[in-house]
Amino acid sequence: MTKKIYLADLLEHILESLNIISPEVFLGAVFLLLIIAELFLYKYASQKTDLSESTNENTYQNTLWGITLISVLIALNQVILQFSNTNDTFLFGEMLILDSKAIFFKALNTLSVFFLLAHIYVSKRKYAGEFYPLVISVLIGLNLMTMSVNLLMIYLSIEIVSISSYILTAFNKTRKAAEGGLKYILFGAAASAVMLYGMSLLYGMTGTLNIASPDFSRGIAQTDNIASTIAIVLTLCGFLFKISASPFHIWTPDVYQSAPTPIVAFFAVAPKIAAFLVIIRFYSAVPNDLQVLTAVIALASITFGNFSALWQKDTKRLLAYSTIAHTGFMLIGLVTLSELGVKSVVFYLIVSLFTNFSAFLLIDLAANRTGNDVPESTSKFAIDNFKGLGRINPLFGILVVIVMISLAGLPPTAGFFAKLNVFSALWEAYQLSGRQILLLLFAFGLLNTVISLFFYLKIPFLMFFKESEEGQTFQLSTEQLALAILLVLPILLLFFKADWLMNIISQL
Amino acid sequence: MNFWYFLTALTLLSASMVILSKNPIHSVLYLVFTFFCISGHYVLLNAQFLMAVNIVVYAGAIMVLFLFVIMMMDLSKNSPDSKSTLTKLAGAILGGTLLVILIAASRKVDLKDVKPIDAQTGMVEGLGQILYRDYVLPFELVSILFFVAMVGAVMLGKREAGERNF
Repeated sequence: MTKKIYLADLLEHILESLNIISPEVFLGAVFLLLIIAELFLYKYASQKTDLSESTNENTYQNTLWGITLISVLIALNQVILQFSNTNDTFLFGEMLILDSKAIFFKALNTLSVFFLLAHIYVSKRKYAGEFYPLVISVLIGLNLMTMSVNLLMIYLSIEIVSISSYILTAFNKTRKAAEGGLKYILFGAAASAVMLYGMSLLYGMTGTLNIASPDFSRGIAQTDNIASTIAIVLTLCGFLFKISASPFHIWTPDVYQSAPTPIVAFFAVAPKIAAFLVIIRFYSAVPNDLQVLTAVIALASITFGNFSALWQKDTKRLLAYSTIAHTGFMLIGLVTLSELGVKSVVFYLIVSLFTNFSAFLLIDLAANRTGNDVPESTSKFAIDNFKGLGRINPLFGILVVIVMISLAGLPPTAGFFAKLNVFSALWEAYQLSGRQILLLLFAFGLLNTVISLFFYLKIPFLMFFKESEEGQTFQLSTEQLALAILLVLPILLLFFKADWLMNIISQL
Repeated sequence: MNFWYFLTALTLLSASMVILSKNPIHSVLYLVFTFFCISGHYVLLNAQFLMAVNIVVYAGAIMVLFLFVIMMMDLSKNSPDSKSTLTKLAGAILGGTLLVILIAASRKVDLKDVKPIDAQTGMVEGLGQILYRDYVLPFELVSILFFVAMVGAVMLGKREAGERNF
């Protein structure tokens, strides 16, 4: 008899939890709807009626795009509504946690999907119908990642994100895309395997998968330090792969070069946002001292990213290496293991959301301009193709300059405050602990910021101080310009009103 | 316990034969044998259901499919080694270091207070209880994961009319 009552309670709890994760349930339904809608619309679009063939094709694209956009906006609205009741609640028997951090990061994820869709719209790209359900499934995975407090759920949500990402990378079905997708899946599978091994060791040591429970921390603390550190490092491998930190960064340039540009901008932002929250939760759960380890990884990421970017001839590869370096800078915030450090990471993530999306949008618009006809063998994104564009279209040139300055981390852009916060948190941590490695990291990080100026300013330099080829024209349409300005404005705004965003973050 | 040692030795031996044998078909057959050995370990760990699933899914379905693919691709000819000696040496050193670290770590783990398990632990009933009660959300999410993978596989594998085949 008691068993029955227990079951009723359990069912009630599950129903209640389902109600609370309504944005994800809704997105799951949209995922199915899009796949079914695609099946019917495909038949409609492929009907050959001579005159109206292209209009049929357009309705097919626009309908799927529209459904995705509307549902993403509804999901965003649902997530924002969750802010009003910010009691930290465990869902599904401590599988997920819904706290204000999770809600905030979910809103950021959904926002980045919105920018992805806007980028697709302004660049007038056409994708096969499976594209949109895959984007939705990435969003489901990302949202679950931000809420997960159970190792199994963390693994599963990372895997949903990864599998969708592999497919989206190879989506163009060209030889290059297949190569990028294959590299991504091989490295990704190896990283998840290592992560699973680490998780199983942690489970063996603690007897629980729930990283929020005190048993987890106690179990690790009771195990020998070397053994537990190795299990933790193995688990971290999977997370570091997702944020493309060194030494798990090798896939990044190839994937960024071969994937469709809107997707690349999305990869550079959204999975990192979610994975950083997972790392923050994981760091606060384990009692081991990971300061030196994180410092070394951060140092390696910054150095590899910046020095490799110096030699790049392709803007997409250049930005890929720059995101690796930025990951390193964000990891500095985690090195400190302090409240201020975590806040500075969140600030950095939000700034990088706007800078990366605008950087990829701008180079995409420039590379796909009419008249940029390059031979098959070379890339449209070659850095030489940007010669003189700033003279032809000064407004575009100014936008690029702002974005590049923000990536380099100079005033008057938000990138400056992002780096300043991270470094001041690091300085504070150094004064508290007095560890030499932190001072080294501080000095080396500053040095690298200077080095990064060389390659970030290379593009604006070419745009303004080199002559373009004869007869080049470059015009942006109104909606392209509107989206670019919408993305660049927050970069300036967050410089002048940085404390405004910091206040929001400190309430999390 | 003696049987455990025998089974472990057999597993390790066949696993290393997977890497060492020159013929890919032999490698696959050794891999199938390794899976059978691992299934034996599952029985010793009182996880009979896992044993059955492992044999049906891995040894049965996946590996046989693998074998067919390898036979169709005709990889049995010995291709020249593409890796340089330096790469091999670096790989061996890295792998060896990792092995030493893992062994050193696992020796440090204290396993004295392992509780004896309930005889019903690995049975289907217990598994079902846990799967549908505590782990109901991950269990349902796996379906999304598999569906995404299926959609992707069909999309990438399907050749549109007039598309280049590489």
